[in-house]
Amino acid sequence: MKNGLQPTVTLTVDDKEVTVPTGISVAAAVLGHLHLGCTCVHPVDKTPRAPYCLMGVCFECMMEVNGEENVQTCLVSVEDGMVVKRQLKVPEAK
Amino acid sequence: MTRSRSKSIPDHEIIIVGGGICGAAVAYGLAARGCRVTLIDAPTRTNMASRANVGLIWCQSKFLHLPDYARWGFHSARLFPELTRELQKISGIEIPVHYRGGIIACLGEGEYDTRREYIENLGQVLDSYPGGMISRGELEKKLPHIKFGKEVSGAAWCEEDGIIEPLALLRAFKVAFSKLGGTFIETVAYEVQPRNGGFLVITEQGPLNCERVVLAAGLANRRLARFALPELPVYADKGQVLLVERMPYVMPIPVLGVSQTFGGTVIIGFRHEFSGHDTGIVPEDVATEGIWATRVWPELGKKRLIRAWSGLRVMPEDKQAIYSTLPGHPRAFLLNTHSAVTLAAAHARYLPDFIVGAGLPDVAASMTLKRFGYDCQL
Repeated sequence: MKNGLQPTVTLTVDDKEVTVPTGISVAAAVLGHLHLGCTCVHPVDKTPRAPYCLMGVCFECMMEVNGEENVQTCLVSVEDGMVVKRQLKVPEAK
Repeated sequence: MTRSRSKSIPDHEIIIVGGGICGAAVAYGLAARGCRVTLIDAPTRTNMASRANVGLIWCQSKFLHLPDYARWGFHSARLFPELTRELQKISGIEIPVHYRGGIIACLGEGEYDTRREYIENLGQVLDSYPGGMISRGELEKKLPHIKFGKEVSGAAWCEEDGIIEPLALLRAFKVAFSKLGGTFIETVAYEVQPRNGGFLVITEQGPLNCERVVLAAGLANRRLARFALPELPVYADKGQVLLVERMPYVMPIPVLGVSQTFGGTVIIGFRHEFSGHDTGIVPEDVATEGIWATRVWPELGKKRLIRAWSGLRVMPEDKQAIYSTLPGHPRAFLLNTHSAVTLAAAHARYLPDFIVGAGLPDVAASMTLKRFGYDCQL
């Protein structure tokens, strides 16, 4: 309870440590606290994208979480020590 | 309505009831000929066939039992490039489309042989057929960025197939129609009644009168045609589809049943179910589609599903389109097809002539209600 108001966790986003309230989604963490501009690119037209619907539908919030690529970050809660990376390269289709 | 009012010239020359791809194509074609057309469509509902499909322009491997219908499809596919150029120019809307052929993947030797036999027979019936079977190696060359499952033995291939973004096509038809002077009214049509040689279309916004009426309302045609036709042999044919998350665009040639959209998502589905107007998604049913799709393209098994939905195809009893006047009403027209995308170019080109009284082209002349035993003028 670093700020004396509510419990927090610390995660790493693109090598930067970020402390956010517990219980929020990774998408909310990067939107509200980091202002990264974009968090992934569209797989077809490569335009920059960021979390949008925040309810698992739009697939605009894909990021790498703890080494796993293409994770829908609006459906994942933040955890202490989590490593999150922007996904600026599209995972391949095979 | 007063007597003098009802005797006056109708407010509308031609009313088309139904603004799906079929109705909008004909509305556009009529407006391009300078006809005064009013298009009526209900507010969007997702079970409408034109809004629930993947947009295949598909001619191959179909209608061995209906050779004229097969020819009609090929003819429409050949008219498509000209139609989309024209539509883009008039509407200003870019329509994503590929005319690069289509593929039916076969699992195992049995499926391959059955498909080959069907296509050989079709080739004989049609005289010329622009396609055939290809080996697994040839398939891999056509779609080099897809790693097909080990059971894929080869495929059927047809160079005249294609894929179009169906919502863009529909929107372009409607915008072009408006720019050509057509009138669009968003309302529900309840009923059509014959009146003084013309027709009264009863809508949520009140009655509209017209000289000619065109019923292009899909399954709702059964209700709207009741004034002339107690029973229209058209049924709801339900499909259920799965939508897979976006991935890089690797399928410019669509694979039937597992087609990548222009936005990068993949639509999986091939079911035909006759269960009335039920639009429920049954997990066990869509699972069979997903399992099949991963046998064709195993990579899909690692991808996420975005959602599933169902839609109702508009299926005439004999699976052939119906273009007809209604019995006893030579100025009332009925249009029903389950291939409104593939046939859109032919519809826009030829059905306007039919609606103004110039008959159907020879290849479509047998597609009236006469084949169901009804007496109707061509």
